[in-house]
Amino acid sequence: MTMADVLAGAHAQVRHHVSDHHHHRLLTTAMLGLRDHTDDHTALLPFVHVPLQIYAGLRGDTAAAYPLAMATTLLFLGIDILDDLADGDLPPHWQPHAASEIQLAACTLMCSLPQLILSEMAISAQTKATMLQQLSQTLLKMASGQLQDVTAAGSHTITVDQVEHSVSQKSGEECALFATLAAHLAGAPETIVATCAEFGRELGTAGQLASDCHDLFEADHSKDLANGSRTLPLALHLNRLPENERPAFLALLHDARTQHASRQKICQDLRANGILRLCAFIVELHCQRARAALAKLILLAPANDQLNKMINHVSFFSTKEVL
Amino acid sequence: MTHENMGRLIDHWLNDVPFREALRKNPAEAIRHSGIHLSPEEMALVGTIDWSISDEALQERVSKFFS
Repeated sequence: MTMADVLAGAHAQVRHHVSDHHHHRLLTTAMLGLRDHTDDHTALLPFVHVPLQIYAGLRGDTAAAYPLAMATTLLFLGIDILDDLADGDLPPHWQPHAASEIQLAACTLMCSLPQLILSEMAISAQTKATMLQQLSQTLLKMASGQLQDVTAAGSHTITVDQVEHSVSQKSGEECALFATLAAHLAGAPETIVATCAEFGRELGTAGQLASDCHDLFEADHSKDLANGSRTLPLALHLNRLPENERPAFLALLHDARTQHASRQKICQDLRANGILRLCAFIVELHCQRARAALAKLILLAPANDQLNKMINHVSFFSTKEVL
Repeated sequence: MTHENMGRLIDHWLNDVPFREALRKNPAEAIRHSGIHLSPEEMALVGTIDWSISDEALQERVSKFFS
């Protein structure tokens, strides 16, 4: 079974559970949001490959984890949609729809369908209860992380600690969830579940910090600059500037919300001050921790190799390999 | 973590050419002589990464894990 099977399965779950025609059509629109992530079939998708490979690493094959991967795919999509809505950065396929409809789609994908899929899996009642509780606890943590994120937009005083904590609470905990649900499904003891969480958290944090660098230094249009988001590279630069130089940089950040020239100036200044390299080290610290957690797990091959490839894909210093 | 000491390392890297060369040859030794105090975790990292990678090459390696 492949990633395409997971996606087809996710669509089938939506058809199975959502009988209202209008609601089903709304969710079909929502699932167009997976296209950007899945067009490249060699891509490393944390919401598919982390649960499948953690399970395979513990139990030897992925088959029983496919419903879990469908659930985590829908969950990821719901979270992604809410994030885009909060950032005012929705993809074009949402254009005919009101914000209220989009919120409803996201809530269904986060708070109803994954739970139904998990509750219908052929596993013990105890395992189901544990997985559902884990899901709820993580959504609470992620909501706190998201609140930090939205209240920090445009901030003049964000610290590096605050940014890393917010990323860990959101993307870190999301990826930790993908790993721990798989560990619970595999019947792993608590020590293994905790180490899977550690692996997922560090991989997710490293991945988001790397993605934030991509948004700033590589993307044609920086969503973060447009939204006033305070990501790691910006927080690092702001906190390293002498006090008397901060107002000018904050003014530049404000202008960069609408002006391309200001964005280019920000990238030049950050590169000249070694911020890209400093971000690369910080991402690598998290990658190093993810590798250490993975080494403790002693997973079966090829799952262990595949998860190491995911870490290497995030790392600035490792060779990228195709999954 | 504030990463202040990693920040000092970067400042030395940017502004001190002999330090940059020394770091490429023997990172642990170069950092010991610089007076920068890194944590054990940071020292372990410094010893494993490739210091010959340029900023341009680092930028080419930036990847998008999450949207």
